[in-house]
Amino acid sequence: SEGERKYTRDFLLTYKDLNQELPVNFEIRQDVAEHLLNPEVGSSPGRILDQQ
Amino acid sequence: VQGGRGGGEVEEHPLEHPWTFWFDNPNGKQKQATWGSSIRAVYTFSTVEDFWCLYNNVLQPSKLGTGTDFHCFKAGIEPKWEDPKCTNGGKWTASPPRGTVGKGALDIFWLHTLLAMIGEQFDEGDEICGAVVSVRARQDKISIWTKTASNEAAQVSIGKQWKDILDFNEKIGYLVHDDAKRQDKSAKNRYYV
Repeated sequence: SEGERKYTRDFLLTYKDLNQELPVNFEIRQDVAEHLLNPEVGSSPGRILDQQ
Repeated sequence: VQGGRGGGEVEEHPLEHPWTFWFDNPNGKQKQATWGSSIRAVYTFSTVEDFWCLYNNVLQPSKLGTGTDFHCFKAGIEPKWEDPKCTNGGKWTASPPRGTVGKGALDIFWLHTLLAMIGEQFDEGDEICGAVVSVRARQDKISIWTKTASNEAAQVSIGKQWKDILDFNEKIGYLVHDDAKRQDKSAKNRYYV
């Protein structure tokens, strides 16, 4: 419908390599980070929180 | 929307909907007393750029631990049967082939599913709640959850488009949440495409 923001796969993929760092406002619990974040990806501004 | 990545002002691309990633931790079960539930919202994004910033930093499904569920749902919808937007819904499920490419198909299916959802490529996109990848020892699965199971035309449209998006030729089935709740493992798919 009018005004919908539609993006094709090819269009979206062109932005993949331009956005490598975790968002500046990203926060994650330590125990989730251990299972989810890729340790091979370099430093990021995201914050790792304690479990509480 | 103006962002500041890459050392300069960069115009970001807003998505039609904000979306939330949720992680269900297989090794967190013993901690459920403190967690309440092991499912956790990880991050909500509303631009193409923020999607990639998160995606590029998390493990691919093929590298996630067995038992993990990783969800991407429209913000405000919890990936649970009980959510008001999900309670009358159901899900299409595809099992990516393993074969000679190992788990490569799983990662590609997941990415292509995410891109089609956030890019609003489904004609019946309003029906979509979100998607989940379930990493399992025997058979990995990806499901798209939708809102109105009784709307057969909408569900069939989504199922057919999803198969085209994945370039997947096997039959897939649509399971109604309510059937799954009542009949557990014996519940049968309502629709096929």
